[in-house]
Amino acid sequence: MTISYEIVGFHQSTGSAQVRFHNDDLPEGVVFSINLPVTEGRYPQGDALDSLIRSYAPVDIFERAAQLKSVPPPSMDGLPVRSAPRPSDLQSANAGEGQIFVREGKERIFLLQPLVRLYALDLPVEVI
Amino acid sequence: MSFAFTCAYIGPFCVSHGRGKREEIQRFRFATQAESMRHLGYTPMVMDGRVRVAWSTTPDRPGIEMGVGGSFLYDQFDRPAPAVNEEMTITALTDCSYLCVVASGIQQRVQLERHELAARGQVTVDRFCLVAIAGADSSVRINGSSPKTGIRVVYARSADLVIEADSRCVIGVFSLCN
Repeated sequence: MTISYEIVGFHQSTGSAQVRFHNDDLPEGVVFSINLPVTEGRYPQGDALDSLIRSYAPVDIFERAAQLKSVPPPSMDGLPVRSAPRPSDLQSANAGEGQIFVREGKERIFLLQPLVRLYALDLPVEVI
Repeated sequence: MSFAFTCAYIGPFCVSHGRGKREEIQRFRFATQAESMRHLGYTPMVMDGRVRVAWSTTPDRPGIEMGVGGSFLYDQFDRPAPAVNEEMTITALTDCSYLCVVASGIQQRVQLERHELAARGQVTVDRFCLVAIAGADSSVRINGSSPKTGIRVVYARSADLVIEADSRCVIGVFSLCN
């Protein structure tokens, strides 16, 4: 399976790159925010950066897309979802920027994109 | 064979769950340099089964066995482990699993408080904490709910939680700290 990527943004204050992974099975792709390590005062470059980004490629998502592509599309009735934004929408919305923290007793979640694998633990998870 | 991991973002936390089959091993190292628990910023906790944890600095020692509630930094009796900043080799003595919780936010750290509850024991958990109910035979009621059995994770999104144990269990409370 071939997965391509492009860096669609970089958040300087958090040192994270927003990377869109895509292939023929999922042309609109998915965007991940990847923290870039700092070594001797520098972010990774060249082959090191390429290897780092490729290590984050969500292979299981693309395998799933390929699998679903081969069957009739399941019904989405009852699912409270929006369609995935197009790449142009991602760029204009400062794609991938997000933080989750608690301040002054209130939970602050700033997500401009849904986090992939939000509930992918193989454990029961309850939010009360 | 290494353990199998799944992960998820829950509230302000990033949670990883590793499952190991008996005799599998997993190498583990905390990603941040740390001199003590106070600097570490995140903690794992054994959810089920038993493991042996050995540190690279003491390869000749057999390591420390831990059961439910063990945190790799302290065993379940709160005795400090030999080192906090070394590579560890975790060996599954039985089918087992452990949770590792970090903060999603920048420069945020997570601390762990563990509570061993006897039957009818109770603990109150603050809002915005993440609670791990450990022990495959655990049974708890949360805010007066019907009994919930088995290992699970609960996030106190809307209110404090009152957790009452129907049977003996270990509760891990993960919260953000400065």
